[in-house]
Amino acid sequence: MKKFFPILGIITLALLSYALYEALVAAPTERTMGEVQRIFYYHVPSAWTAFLLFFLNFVASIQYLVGRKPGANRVANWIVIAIAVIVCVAAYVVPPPEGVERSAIATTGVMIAGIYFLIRKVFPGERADILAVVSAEVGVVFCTVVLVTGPLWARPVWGIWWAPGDIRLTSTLVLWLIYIAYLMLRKFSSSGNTALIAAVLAVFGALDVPLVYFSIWFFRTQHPQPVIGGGGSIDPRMMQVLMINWLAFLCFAYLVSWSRYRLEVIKREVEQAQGMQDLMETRAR
Amino acid sequence: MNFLYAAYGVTWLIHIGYLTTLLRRYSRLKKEIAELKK
Amino acid sequence: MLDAYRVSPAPANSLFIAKALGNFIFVCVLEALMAPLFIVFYNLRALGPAYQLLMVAPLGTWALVVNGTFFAALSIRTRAREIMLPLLLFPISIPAILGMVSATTAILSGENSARFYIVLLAVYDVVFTIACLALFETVLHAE
Repeated sequence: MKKFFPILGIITLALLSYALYEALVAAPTERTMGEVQRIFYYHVPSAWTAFLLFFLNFVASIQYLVGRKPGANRVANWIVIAIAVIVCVAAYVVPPPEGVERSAIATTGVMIAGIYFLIRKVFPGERADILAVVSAEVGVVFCTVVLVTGPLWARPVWGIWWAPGDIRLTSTLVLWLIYIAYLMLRKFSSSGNTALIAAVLAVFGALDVPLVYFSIWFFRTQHPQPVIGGGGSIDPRMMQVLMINWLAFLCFAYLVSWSRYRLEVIKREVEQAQGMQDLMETRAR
Repeated sequence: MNFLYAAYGVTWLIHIGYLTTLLRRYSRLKKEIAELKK
Repeated sequence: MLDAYRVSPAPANSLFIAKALGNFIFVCVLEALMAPLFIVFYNLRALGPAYQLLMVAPLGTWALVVNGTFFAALSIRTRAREIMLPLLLFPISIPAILGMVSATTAILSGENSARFYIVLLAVYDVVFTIACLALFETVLHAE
């Protein structure tokens, strides 16, 4: 596996450069917003990557929590399967929201269950905890990019840096805050079971985000806000550039996460070795 | 227009900054491994 | 002191409910004392249905107290304890605070209905009470 790293690195670099060229030069200029719109090609893929990473953290945290007891593990497996089945059935029974395909909802449900079991296979036990740390950190990095490029795009286009009470902005900000708190908890914990309490916090955070979404959704429909994103069809050429940038950033996120993962593994081995050394020194005395 | 370059620049600054912290942590660990091996 | 609780044979959930209820009653008593003062000094008059405030207050208080008690136990095993608790609590409490403030605004100004926010607070309370009860034992017995 290790020898793939440099090859993947070169591919990622090539993809990023190509994607940058596409975004800055090849993509058509937007009619109303002009050149500034090109921030979109960095802002949106970073957001999608950040959300994916936070979702991975959520799954890893749950697995760490239930992995400690085989009974809880089996219950969790059945719950995940049940959720996937319910989502698939609901996709074809309940009328879907605007512009969303029924098959897309069903596929997402199946994919989420698939990701859950895949992670269970590849990252058992303590590895799930390492995955949680890694995905939280890299997720925060990408989320920071989103929260910085967003206002930089908003200022020239709408004249304001931030739209207070906008649902997407506030949900993303809250998500960022929750994961900053998560990382601080990990850093400042003096407990032997840091992984455990961090996993608990991650679960709380995941419960919180949909509630934030709904609380602000109603707040927004009370006080009209500038319309952000969404709405209207996108030029297929722009969609192509967006996807290329997303692919490039996904590869980049993968490389960064992989490096961070290896770093964490080495760090834990060193800590263990230090612990052993201290133990032997105390015994020798 | 400057906002465009600022946004792209800041994105890469953040990413490079994070990778720098990773490298720094890595070299610190390497030093500790050398200490332990003694 | 939490260690003394851990040694006791009482189940972790009853410990949590006891702590949360204790805090809840304490804060409610404070609110009952402060509310008349606020009404007098700020000349408050509810243009909307004032009885709804009696629903918002306990729901909102419980929302803050239940998470506060849980995170207090969670952040005991951290080095910067005083900073950890508010840092952890703040993002989690945002929907509760948003709901409370919006509901109170709606009731006092009478401009719109506070019903959605009261339901939101109730949902928040249910979701997080269940989560806290389910996970408190794990947190309590973490080394």
